[in-house]
Amino acid sequence: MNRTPLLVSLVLSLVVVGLLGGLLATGTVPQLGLDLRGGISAIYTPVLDEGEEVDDEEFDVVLDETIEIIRNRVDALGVAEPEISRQGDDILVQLPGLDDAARAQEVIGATAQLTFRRVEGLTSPEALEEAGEDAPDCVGEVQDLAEDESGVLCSAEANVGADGEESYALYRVGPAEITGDGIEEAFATIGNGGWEVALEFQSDASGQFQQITADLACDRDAGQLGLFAIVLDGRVESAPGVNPGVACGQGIAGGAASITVGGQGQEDDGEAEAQDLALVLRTGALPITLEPSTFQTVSPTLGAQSLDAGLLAAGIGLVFVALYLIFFYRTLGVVSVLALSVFGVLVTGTLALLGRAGFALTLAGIAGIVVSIGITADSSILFFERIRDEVRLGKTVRTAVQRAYTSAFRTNLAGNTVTLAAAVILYFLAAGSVRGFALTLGLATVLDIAILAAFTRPVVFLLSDTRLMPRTSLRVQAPPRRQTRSGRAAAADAGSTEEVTK
Amino acid sequence: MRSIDFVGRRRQWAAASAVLLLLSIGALLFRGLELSIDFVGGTAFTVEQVGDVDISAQDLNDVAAEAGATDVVAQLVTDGDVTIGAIVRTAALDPGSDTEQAVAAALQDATAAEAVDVTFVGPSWGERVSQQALRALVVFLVVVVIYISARLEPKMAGAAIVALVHDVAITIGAYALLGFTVSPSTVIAILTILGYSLYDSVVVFDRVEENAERLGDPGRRSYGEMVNTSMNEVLGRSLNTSITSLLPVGALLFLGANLLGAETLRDLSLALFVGMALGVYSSLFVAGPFLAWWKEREPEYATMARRLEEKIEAGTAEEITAAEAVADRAPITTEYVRGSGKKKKRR
Repeated sequence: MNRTPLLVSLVLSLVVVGLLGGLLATGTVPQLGLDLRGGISAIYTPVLDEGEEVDDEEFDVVLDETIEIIRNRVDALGVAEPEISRQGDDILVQLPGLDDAARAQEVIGATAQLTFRRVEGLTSPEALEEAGEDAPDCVGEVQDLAEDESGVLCSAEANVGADGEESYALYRVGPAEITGDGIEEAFATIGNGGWEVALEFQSDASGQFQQITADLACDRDAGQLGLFAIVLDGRVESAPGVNPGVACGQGIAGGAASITVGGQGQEDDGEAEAQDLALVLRTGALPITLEPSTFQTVSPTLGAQSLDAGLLAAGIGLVFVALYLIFFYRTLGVVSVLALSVFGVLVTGTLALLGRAGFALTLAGIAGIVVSIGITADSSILFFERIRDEVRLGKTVRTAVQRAYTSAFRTNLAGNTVTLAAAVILYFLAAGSVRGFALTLGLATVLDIAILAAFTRPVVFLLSDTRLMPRTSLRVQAPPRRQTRSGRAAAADAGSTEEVTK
Repeated sequence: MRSIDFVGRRRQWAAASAVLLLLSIGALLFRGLELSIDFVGGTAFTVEQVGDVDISAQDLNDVAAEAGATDVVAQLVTDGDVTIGAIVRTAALDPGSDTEQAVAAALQDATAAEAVDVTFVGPSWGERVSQQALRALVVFLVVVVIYISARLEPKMAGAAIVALVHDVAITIGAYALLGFTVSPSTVIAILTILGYSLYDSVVVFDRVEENAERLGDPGRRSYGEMVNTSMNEVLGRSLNTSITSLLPVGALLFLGANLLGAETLRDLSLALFVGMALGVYSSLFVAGPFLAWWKEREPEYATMARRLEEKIEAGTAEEITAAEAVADRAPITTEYVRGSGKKKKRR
């Protein structure tokens, strides 16, 4: 037996264990799901308003924008480490440490509202204060205005001053003139003067649009601002003026217009800005209603209890399995317990690494690990039972170990492939908690095969060369000898062919 | 080593399984399954750490109904004689709605609880989850049949699926019979059982396949006996594996049983416990005998079995009776066995 490759394999696997163990020791631990640390976890399903039809691609784009809007709203709530992500066509919202269901629902479930409003004037916090009005706080959550309300709104983007100070433009706007429903189409395009957003209105809105632009042109001619604010979710996304070519009283006819973007000092040619604005307009045109599919609040104490129970179960399970294996397999049992420890470190370490990539360990995930303890123990058991078979046949321990490994690995691979297939299919086809379970189960299965090949094999092979694993330690039963007559009869008792034997 | 006649007594095992299956189907038909809100939609309030008040499930029912909830089912969670919490299920109440908040507040008042957690599941979500699980199941079974057919052989895939249907049907039957609630965790557990059941069958069949190469080499062993020998060879592994698998799951079951909010653990471990135990039983008593029965219908193996029978009847097969093949033959995977066969003849 060539020992070098065995030693290399053993050392390599120990290095990996050391690295992941070190990672865990230095405080990188698996990230916990909300069912284990408390908070609000919800899945929202987008529903199109009645009568709306849309192709998949457009739906995708709008859904992503909707997620972006929710993210902004949640950020405004001040929740630490919120996670808003897309799962297929659903939106997964995780708000750690928040327990106010009413508030969360209000913030997430509200539909994005797009309105076009006339800008009555620009203002500033100081001016508002002088007039005895409250200046809106533009940093946190902002209040949208009802369609017939007028008031002061913040700009969506902050201006960064020379000193790095962020300031928001404040617009005093009138009631909504046109809502997002009136938009037929909006897309970014290159016009004569660079990037612009082409905008088409539906027939009923185009008349209104002409009327307003006619009025705004007059305002402009009269030396007033003449701006038209595009308001999404209570923030002014853009406030274009009317082109000098549009005559007072005439307005923009035909229900089509274009908004030229890009001001001075733009780094790019305004493409990004045009795309963003077009997206805002399209999202406003197609308001998706988010309906809660699942909504769960978990208090931190309940989460901690579940975590403790899960960990305790895993711990007790490991200890019992370890005791059983040592009792039954002696020296080999110790090896399998070591393999289980390696398994524990690798699973936890990998989950910690995955945690950095955003994977959160849930209770179902812990259950997956507990289940895989049995699978890992099984690969050792398969191997050891096979060694005993071969030794019982009269082989030397060294030969037995090698033959046993070949066939045990084969069987283990076949069995694990089935389990892995289950895990992969579950992960991709199922939703919710099932996925967390599938991930840990799949991970454990892969690690199991790796541990059998890279850890258990070299350890047992090397042991078989030493005095630590004598033949006697393998034979629980006496080797098969020619049975006496009575012995054979006793054995035959177990079989239905008993009569034939006699 | 005493061996067990798995294949020869297949009628008995089949009868045992048939009784269990009939019980399961009967329970399903007459008692039905109780589905959790995750499948049918609804709102569940988990009342944490009930304060020092004497309250019954009926009281909680009334409290919730008064606050505006409908279809209320309240359940106390106890540890010994002490009520540690409660779970109150109602028809779906929109999260954050006034009614939902009112019910939560009323429950908290009535129980002096530390907190009331709310779980809401929309009606269409459950349907989607069930459909997804079903689709995953079908895809999985197709993949497994293809894999086992390619890796081992098609009839083994068939036998493995028979064992699997057996396990799952009885597990679901146990849920119906005992009136446990089926939750997504149960579904997870059942999918895991599928994996386990198949894993066990694959381990047994892998040994059969390995031994099959030697079948007919000594020319005196029926397929059934060969399967039986293979199963006895892996028996040690099967028992040890099931014990080591059931230990951690038992720990989950035990710890999750009296813990509020750990329904995931409880539901999961219960189905796992039943299913895993069945998985080991079925790989030995269902999958193996079924495979033997099926294979022996093939002309080649049928002839082989008949010849062996004739030999035994003629009394010319004293040394090579079925009982011996079952009882004291060492694994037939190695040359050594062939040698030992010769020795026997000389004796």
